[in-house]
Amino acid sequence: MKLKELLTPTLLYRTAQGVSFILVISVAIVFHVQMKSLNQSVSLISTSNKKQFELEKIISEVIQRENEMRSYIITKDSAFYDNNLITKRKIFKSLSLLKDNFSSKQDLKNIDYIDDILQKRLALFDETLAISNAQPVDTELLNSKLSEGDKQTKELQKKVYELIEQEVTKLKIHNINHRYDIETSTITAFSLTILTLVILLFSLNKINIDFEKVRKLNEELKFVNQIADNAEKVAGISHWKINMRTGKFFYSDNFYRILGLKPNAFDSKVENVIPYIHPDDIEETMKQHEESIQNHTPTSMIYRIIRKDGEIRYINSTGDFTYNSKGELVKIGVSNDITEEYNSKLALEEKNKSLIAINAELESFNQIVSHDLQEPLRKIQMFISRIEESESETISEKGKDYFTKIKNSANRMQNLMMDLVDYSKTIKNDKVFVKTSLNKLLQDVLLELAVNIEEKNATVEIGNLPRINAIPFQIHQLFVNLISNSLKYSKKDIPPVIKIKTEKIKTGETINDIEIIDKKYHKITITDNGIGFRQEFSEKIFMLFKRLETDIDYNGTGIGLAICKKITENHNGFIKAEGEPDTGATFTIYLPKVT
Amino acid sequence: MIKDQSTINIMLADDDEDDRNFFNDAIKELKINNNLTVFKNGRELMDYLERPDIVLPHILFLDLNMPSKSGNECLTEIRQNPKFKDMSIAIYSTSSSDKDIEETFVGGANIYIKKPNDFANLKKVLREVVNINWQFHTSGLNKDTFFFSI
Repeated sequence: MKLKELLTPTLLYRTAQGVSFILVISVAIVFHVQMKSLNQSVSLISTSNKKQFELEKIISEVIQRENEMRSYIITKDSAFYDNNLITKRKIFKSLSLLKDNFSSKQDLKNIDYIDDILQKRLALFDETLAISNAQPVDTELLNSKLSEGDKQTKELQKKVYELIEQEVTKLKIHNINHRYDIETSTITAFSLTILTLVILLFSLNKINIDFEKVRKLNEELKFVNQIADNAEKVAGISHWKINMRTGKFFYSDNFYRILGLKPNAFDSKVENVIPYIHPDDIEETMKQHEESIQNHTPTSMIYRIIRKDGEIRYINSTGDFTYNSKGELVKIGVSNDITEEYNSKLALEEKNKSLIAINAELESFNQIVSHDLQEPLRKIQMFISRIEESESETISEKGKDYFTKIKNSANRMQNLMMDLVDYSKTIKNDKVFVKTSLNKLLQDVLLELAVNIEEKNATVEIGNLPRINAIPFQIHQLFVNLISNSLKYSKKDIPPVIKIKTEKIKTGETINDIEIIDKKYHKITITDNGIGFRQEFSEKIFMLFKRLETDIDYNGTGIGLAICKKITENHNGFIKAEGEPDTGATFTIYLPKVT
Repeated sequence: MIKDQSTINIMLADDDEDDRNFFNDAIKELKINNNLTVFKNGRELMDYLERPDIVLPHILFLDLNMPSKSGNECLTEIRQNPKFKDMSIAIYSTSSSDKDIEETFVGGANIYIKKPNDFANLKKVLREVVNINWQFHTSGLNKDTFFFSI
């Protein structure tokens, strides 16, 4: 394990604790050993003292006995020397006590020696007494025995003092050693205690620092939580948790707010949420919830809640299962307030419905224009033709003139109605794009306009045109309108020449400030030699019902070119017009190569 | 029961009085031998056709938009009855909507005429249609030639 790892807060604290514990135990052991050795010293001293005392007692007994014996010899008074046996016993009692207390071989040998001398001395006492008691007293023998006894006593004395001296020395050495021991162990204990304190202080400091760090982290976490809560508030979302092991629920603060409550307004239990769910949604919601809890399957549902004030909110709730850091299975989910989205979706659906209705109305409007309105108009035209044919002779010239005007107006009205129907057809939704050959399509167009072309003695030149993705009837209409337009606005005395061809798009060519690239668009031009128009009208002519001043003579409806614009727009293309009065006009169509 | 081989039997069902009059006038001016029978609506037409002793028309002009029984209903009933298998039916309507043309084509009409807005044109149309030899005419087979244009 690396040092750094050891210094992590919890581990460091544990290590310090361990070390301190061991140190305290060591201190205790040191003191225990010390006490034990002190105890031994005390008993050692007391034993030594006892030995000294017994040794001194022996020597003093012997000396006393010698004194008593001398006093008896001088005085012959038995009062000085009648305690023989008790004294003997006293001496030997001390001797046996000594034997018990000495343990080393040398000591025992010394004791045995003392014992030996004592025996001899006591025997000499008896001998000396016997000599002194004999009649006559052999003074010479007595003196020699007395001096021998004296010698023996002195030897005994010497031996005893030697032993006492030995004990004193032993004690002295022991005392020195013992003092040293006490000193070293005290120092050891003291330093260990200090070390323990240092370690504890150090780890305490470290723990304090760590605690501060944890406090800061906690504050940051609190702040982040606050941000998350605010974000939830703003976004109208909330989250919740169900711990599958403990069965505990958690709802985020905003969950309560979505329900129209203050955070933690009730104990986080599913039972406390149910009263807020719309009665019609409770069964399905609970069914899904319970199934999910049982089978551990994810959920996704929309249900309504009713707030205390009666407001109904739509909630989108999704949840799935995962494991938390403790390895427990939890279900985590998000509940969003989607009322606004739901309402706008409803509004959109409503709008769609009304749009469909409007379309249907447009359709019936078409029906009215193409059938119901044309019916009376057709009759007007029929009666006009009847009058012209059979009654013309009876009508005055003025009347005939009026009739011509009525006829023109009726025809114009018919054209208008037909154009309107065509225009409304370009707005309808049924746009089916088909690969279409423009050359083939133009053949049909020319066939349709054949009468008109012949009437005007016109020439239509068609170049090599591309195949495009198109709504065929609309492109058909587009060319019919453009060619009709050229035929209509031709010069009275010059046969019209209409040229239709493709051109390469030059780099930098723009329309409505959009750059047109050859790669993406077909460019088709329709050029005529008609009356043309002033360039300033190049935009206006495509507007619905906008007619140029020349139209009064040319019977235009103001719809045809508007249809053309609409059709090119339906094909994601463009149309533009360039004109020069008395020279002619050029219409340019741009249609996308890939639609 | 056809008496004269050169006489053509024509029927018209149209609820519009003016249109019936235009039609009548135009047929008269065509100067061909004909028997024209006119009905004011689909029911009147069908009731007549059900009768056992009548002379069946060579050609029936049928307006679409009629009260009590529409032209389309008449067309369906006629085409379901084998008795009328030789009858040619020309739809004669103001409408030229794709829907009407498609429906009557599928319903088994022989030709579709949009009512003209000029009397001269009406005469022209009727002359051509009446003169068609329907036994060999194939217009009813092809949708492109179904809609009659002058």
